[in-house]
Formats: sequence, structure tokens, C-alpha cells
Amino acid sequence: MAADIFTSILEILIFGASLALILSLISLGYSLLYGVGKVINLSHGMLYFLTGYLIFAFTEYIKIPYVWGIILSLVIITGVGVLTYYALIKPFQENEIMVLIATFALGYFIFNLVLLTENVLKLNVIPGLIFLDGFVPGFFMVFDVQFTYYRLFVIVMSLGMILAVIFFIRYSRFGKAIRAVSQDQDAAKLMGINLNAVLMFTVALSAFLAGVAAFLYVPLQPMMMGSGWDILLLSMSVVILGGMGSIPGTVIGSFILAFSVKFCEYFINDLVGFQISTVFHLIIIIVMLMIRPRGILGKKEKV
Amino acid sequence: MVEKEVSLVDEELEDLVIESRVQIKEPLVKFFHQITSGTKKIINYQIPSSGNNLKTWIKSFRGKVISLSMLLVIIIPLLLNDGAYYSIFIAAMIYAIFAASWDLLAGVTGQVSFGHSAFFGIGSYAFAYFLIAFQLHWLVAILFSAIITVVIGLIIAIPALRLKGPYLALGTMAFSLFLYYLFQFPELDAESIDLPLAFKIFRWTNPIQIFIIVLVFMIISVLIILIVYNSKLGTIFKGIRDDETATEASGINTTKYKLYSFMISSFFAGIAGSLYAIHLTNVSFHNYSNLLSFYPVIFTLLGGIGSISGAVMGAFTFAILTRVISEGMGFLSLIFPGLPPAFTTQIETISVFIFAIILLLIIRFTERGVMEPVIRHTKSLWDILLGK
Amino acid sequence: MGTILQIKNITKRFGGLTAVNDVSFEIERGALVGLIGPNGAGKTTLFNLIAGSEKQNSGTIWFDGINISKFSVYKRVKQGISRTFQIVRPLRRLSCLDNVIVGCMSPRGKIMSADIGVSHLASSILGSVGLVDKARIPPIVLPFGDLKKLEMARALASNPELLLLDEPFSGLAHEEQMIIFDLIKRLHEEGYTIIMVGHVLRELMALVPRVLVLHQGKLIADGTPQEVVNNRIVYEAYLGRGTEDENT
Repeated sequence: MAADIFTSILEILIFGASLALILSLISLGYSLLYGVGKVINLSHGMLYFLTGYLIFAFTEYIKIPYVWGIILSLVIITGVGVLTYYALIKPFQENEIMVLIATFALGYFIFNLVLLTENVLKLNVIPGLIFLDGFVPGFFMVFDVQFTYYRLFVIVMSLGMILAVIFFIRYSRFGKAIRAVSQDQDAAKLMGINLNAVLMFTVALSAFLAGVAAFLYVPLQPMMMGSGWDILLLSMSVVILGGMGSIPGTVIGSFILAFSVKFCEYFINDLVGFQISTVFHLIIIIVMLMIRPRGILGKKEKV
Repeated sequence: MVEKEVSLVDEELEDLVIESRVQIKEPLVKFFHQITSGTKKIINYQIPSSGNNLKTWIKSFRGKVISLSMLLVIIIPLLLNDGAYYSIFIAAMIYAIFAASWDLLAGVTGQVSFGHSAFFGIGSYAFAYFLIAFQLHWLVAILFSAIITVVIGLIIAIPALRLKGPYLALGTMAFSLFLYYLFQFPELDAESIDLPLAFKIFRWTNPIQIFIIVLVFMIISVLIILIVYNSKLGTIFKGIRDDETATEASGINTTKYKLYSFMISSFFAGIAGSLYAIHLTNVSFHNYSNLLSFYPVIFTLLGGIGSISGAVMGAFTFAILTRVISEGMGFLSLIFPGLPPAFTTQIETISVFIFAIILLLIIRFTERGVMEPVIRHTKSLWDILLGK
Repeated sequence: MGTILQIKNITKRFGGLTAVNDVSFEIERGALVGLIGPNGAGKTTLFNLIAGSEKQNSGTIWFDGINISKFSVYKRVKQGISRTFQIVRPLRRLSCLDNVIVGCMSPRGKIMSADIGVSHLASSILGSVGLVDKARIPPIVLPFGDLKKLEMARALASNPELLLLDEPFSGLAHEEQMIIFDLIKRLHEEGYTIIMVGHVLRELMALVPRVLVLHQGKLIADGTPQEVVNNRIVYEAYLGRGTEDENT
């Protein structure tokens, strides 16, 4: 009994950590975009979904080596981000609701495009799970619990990526520009910062990070039909929990969410008799919006 | 809720009551009087701000186009008497009610919700529940399910009203997804509930009767929503949409009125849900996903957001176009036998895909919906034809 | 008669900046008072505090003997306070008539319209500001002077006792200013209590019997226009600030 609890806790810690870091990666871009441009990109989850699918398509159908597939997909997804910016975000700078609707439509567009491609080209019937093979083989044991090296790899890579982004924003010149714009758009404009460039870069970065998260995590957690919207809501819940536009908030939020979900998976689900772990993030969104919409570390806004 | 108009009705009723006391008791005559005076009132009803009434609207080109298409919608299925055609128009009319209800909340009151599918689904499930568990008459079941939808709508609304703009949209989306997952829990056994096929007055399977029922409900629902739209209540709603702070500064308790809007909107969404259950004779959560929340956005952007008639037109356009697409795909696969079967089986996917594209184009290049420019261009064409 | 508005030790801070600093004064019912001060003195913030769109950090506000310090905006309107905005905020997609109708649908507005009906009341209010022929027209196409008039009509629609007019003259040509001038005089004669924020000193001074002067959040003078103009502190406050007022 004690041994079971012990292994469960260990698994929660490790699986939770990898999930938390991946969530951070995904939500970071989402949160940054909101902080910088007050943009809520509802197609964000679909970017993850699309990257996963692209890698799958490249490796399975076009038979490109895995690594090239990843690189190509990342390039494409960043391009999609830039396109999204020019087509849908830039024209609607003043109108938040239209951006919401536009990105909402874009999300459906991407999703159905993928579905159609799968079905029309009759490549493979997706019931759909997308499996990717991680490329770090092997596993190791910790106290009788088995973990793959790949998971370790994911943890290290995502941590590195997050730190890279944080350092970039803190210390580089462009990073300072990003921070300036997120604090006060008009003041930043007056100081000669190119708003257009900053926003476009943020959107591209956001897409890129979602893509990286996809190629890292899909081998561990296969993608499904609903993954696109799921990912979106997970990032939303992280960001609402931690605070829109706050980087430390996003990281904290993702850790809280990841560990809570894992905890529920192992202990609470059986207790309450249903899969609360699958809707936990939704509950968080609803509860947070009701009691503290700006999140734990969010700035005070007129919500 | 409909302020001055209500007191007018009371006055006239009083007259009628006195009148009928003088006459020999003729309830039918009184009823007839009420109908004619009511109709006269509707026709002559003056929209306070623009001074238009039904007569002037029909005279306008836009009014003619809309009235003509509505008439066609009603007549064509009856003429063709083909089950499939009934189906399209029934779906279209149900979507129209749904669209109008969403537009009242989002386009008129400015509370954009991405979770309207929740109300639709609740309406369906509640209807099935009342029908099966309590053996209620279907009319009563529809009414009760709409009331339940309003109650749940209030539960959502009270916290939701504190949110503005994107947060409201996200919160409602989260809530509707939450309900969606909730219904999937096996304990509830709610995957697929079939409605009893023969019930009380008629058989569900007779499409003409369903058509007429849905038609009546649609006319009444849209009419009521339009009346609200044109009333002073509607004016307050529009004020809240345009500038909530300024409206509050004018002394309006905006929270109260936003609640009213939620209530009316959820009521009719619930009715649409019930009718949908009747139409499919089956209730299944698969139908009430996130995608359904996206539909009113499509409808209103097609027809023009914020004008209830636009939402109705958008819903019809969508339903008809979806049918056209599916017929088109079927046709194409006849011509090109080598086409993958997906073209005929994946109709929904294709439709949503096409509509997403159309929507993106519309969003990008217009903001008020395509119906207005289309009607304007058609009018110029018409004028040219008439030699003006 | 008697006091209608009491401001007691009101302070409002925005982060490090104290916008309103321990301000106290009383307004008699039916008074016509001007509120002036250099830019950034805190006049609009004070209005926001009275109207309820900002909440004070300390101090209390009393209206007609009732402590309204914690009341929401619409509740204060229900008590009888109404305000105009310095940057006009009409309801863009409604006609002028509808704009006024919204105000008439407030609790006090409905009382006023009980006999003649909301539409008629709204029409007559539009008539009193001279906008009756623009009743069916939306604000988008109206010239600025008309928008200012609409702003006043909307404030009147909720049947207030106290009118807070934020810069009713600013941005207007001279003829239009005279129209607003007459309107305010008429309202004063009809018994409305009016507090007016103004920059156009000459007209303001001719109009109001009493002036409050705000500078850096503090109330530095309170008296007749004559007294205020000759007040040394006021003089220094304006001189030290800039030239925009005398030449406007």
C-alpha cells in the first residue's frame, strides 16, 4: 500500500514535471501574445495540433527523416503564425472581439483542413491517434518505477527552451522592446519602437513555441481529435490561473495545473467516481474567472 | 419587460371585456377581436427611433427580398412534398431560432458568448427528460425545457456578467465544454436517447407536421425577439452594447438588463434545442459540441451581426448552402468516379471548412455581413433592369 | 433648500500620484458652482468620485443626507446625480432620440415620464437642447456642437437634481458656447443644482456665483469669482502652470 502510494507520488512528480514544462512552453507564447498585443489567439491549440500532424505526415507519408520533418514543420508553423498576424490580427488591432472570432474561425479552418486532407487523400483513416517516436531510446529505473530517457530529454529541452525565452526577453534589445510594448503600447510607439515588428515577432514566437511543444510531447502523449481545442483550453487555464501576460505567472500556473491534474488522475478520480482530471482545467477557468479573473500574478485590468 | 406596449394591450383588453359583457356571451368574437386588433397593432407598430413600421419595411427592397424568401421557404417544401427538402428547411428554421437568440445576446446586447451550444443541448436533454420521464405532452415539455434552460442560463449568467469582452467569450466557452464533457460521463448514460416515436397527438415521423410545428415556433420566436429588439428594452440592450459605461451613467442598472438579455436568449435557445430533439427523434451529446457554438457566429456574420433578421437569413443561407455543397459533392463524384469517397461522406467537415474560409474572408473584408452588400448590389441590378 | 452635496475629506490616489487630496466642500441645493484649476488638478477625478465611476481611498460623500460613498454609478443616478463626460460618449449606433430614451428608462426617468410616455419625454428633452430635428439621426454624423448638446440631453433624461457638467464649453465655437451658456442658465433657473468644470474662465466667471479652485488635488480657493480672481494663491497656481487658460 505504502509502496503504491510511493510509486504514485514519484510518477506524479516526474510526469507532472514534464507536463508542467510542456504546458509552460505552450502557454508562454499564448500569454506573451496577450501581454504584448491584447490578442487572444483561439487558434493556438490548433497550431500544436497542426505541427503534430505535419511531423506525422512528413515522416509517415513523405518519408523524410524525423529530424528534417521536425525542422520543416517548425518552419511551416512559424510561417502560419506570421500569416495569422498579417491576415487576422493586424487589421483588427482595436477590435478584440473580431480577433477572437477570426482566430476561432481559423482554428476550425486548420482542424477541418487536416481532417479533409486525411480523408480526401485517403492516406490513413485517423480515428485519430497520432503517434510519433521519440528519438532517445531506452528507459531507466527509479525505485522500481520505469521512466523513459525520452521523458528526461523532454524535461531538459523544454526547461532549456523556457529559460532561453526568458533570458531573451530580459536581456536582449528586442526583448526590452517586447516588454516596453506590453507595458504601454503608446509610449513604446513614441519611443520609436516598431509595434508591427514586435507584434509579428511575438506571434511567430508563440507559434514556434507551440510547435516545439508539439514535437517534444506528442511521443509521450499521443494526439487525438480533440487535442487542438484541448490544448487551447489547457493553455487558457494556465494563463488565467497564473495571470495573462505574466511570464512567471504562466510557469507557476502550469506547474500548479500539471501537478493538480496528475494528482487527480492518481487519487481523486477514483474517489469521486468520474474523470475529474479531464475537466479540471475547465473548472479552473470557470472558478478563476469568477473569483479572480486577472490570475495570481496578473496586472490589474478592467476585466 | 416590454414597458409601454404592455399597458396598451391592457387598455384594449379592458375595452374588449366591457364590450363583450354588453354583447351576448360570444367568446369567439372576443378572440377574433383580439387577433385583429393585435395584428393591426403589429402592422402599425412604430419603431420609436426610426419611425418605421411593418408596412414601410415591406415596401423597402430589403423587406421584399426577405419576405419573398421566407414565403418561398414555406411554400417550396409543401409543394415538393419530398422528405429530404423538409429536413433541410426544418433544420434551417431551428438554426434560425438559435441564431436569433444568440444575436440578441451578442449582436444586440454586446455579450458575445462562445458557449451557446450549452443552452441548445440543455434544451434538448431537458425536453427528452420531460417527455420520457414525466410523460408530459410535447408542448408542455418544450415549455418546461425552455424554462430549465433559462434557470441554468441564470446560473451561468450571474458570474459571467462580471466579465467583459474576451473573458466572457472564453468563460462561456469553458462552461459549455464543461457541460459537454459532463454529459459524456457513462453514469449519466446520455450518449443517445431516442424519443418515443408515436406520442400523444401525432407521429414524429410525419415530416409535414414537424415542418408546420417548427414553422410556427420559428415565426413566434423570431417575432418575439424582433419585438424585443424594437422595443425600449431593446434600446437599452443596444445602449449596453455601444457603451456600457455611458448607459450606466444614464442610470440604467446594466447588470439587471444583461440578465434579461441572457434569460430571453437562453429561453429561445432552449426551444431550438427541443425542436432539434423532435427533428432528430434522438438526443446525443455528439451534436452539442463546440462546433455548434461556432454556428451562430457563422450565421450572424453571413447575415449581419446585430440585426436579428440578418441572423435568420444567415441561418437559412447556411442550411441551404450546406445542402448545395453536399449535392454538389455528390454530383462531382458522379462525374469524376475516381474521386475519393470522402467527398460524399465528409460533408460536415467540408461544409465547416468552406464556411470557415468564407467566414475568414468576410471577417477580413467586411464587418457587417455579406447580406447587406449583396442586397444592395441586387437592388442596383434590379433598378437597372427596370430602367431607372 | 439646504445642502444637497457634502464632500468630506475625499482622497484619491493612483499608485504614487495623489489626484485628489483631502478635499471638503458643501453645495447648496439649487446652486450653480464652477470648478476650475490647471490641467491635471484633479477636476475630472473629483467628478468621477462624485458620480461613482471611481472609488475614493478615504473620505465620504453625502447626497441629500444619504451616505453614497459606496454606491455604484447607477445607484447614484437613482439618487439624483447625473453627469456629462468631457470626451463625449454618445451611444453611437442609436438615434439621438434613443440615446435620450435610455436615460428616460432609468428609475427616476420613468417617474418623470409616467404621464406623457417615454418617447414624448425624450422628444421634449431633445427639444429643450435644440436637437429635436436631429431626433432620428445617429450621433456619428452630427457636428461636435450637437454632440455636446446630446450629452446634456442624456444627462437630463435621468431626471437628476444635481448635474455634473464636465467641460461643457470645450471645443465649441463661440456661438455654440453661448447656446450652452443659455441652456445652463435656464437649467439653473429651473432649480437644478449644477457643478461645472470649466477652462474658459471669462464665460465661466460671468455665469457662476461661486467658484471652487483645485490645484494638484487640493482645494485652494472657494468663493465668488471676484474673490478667486484676486486670490494670490490661485494666481500663482495658474502662472506657475502655463498659459493655456487665459487665451482659450
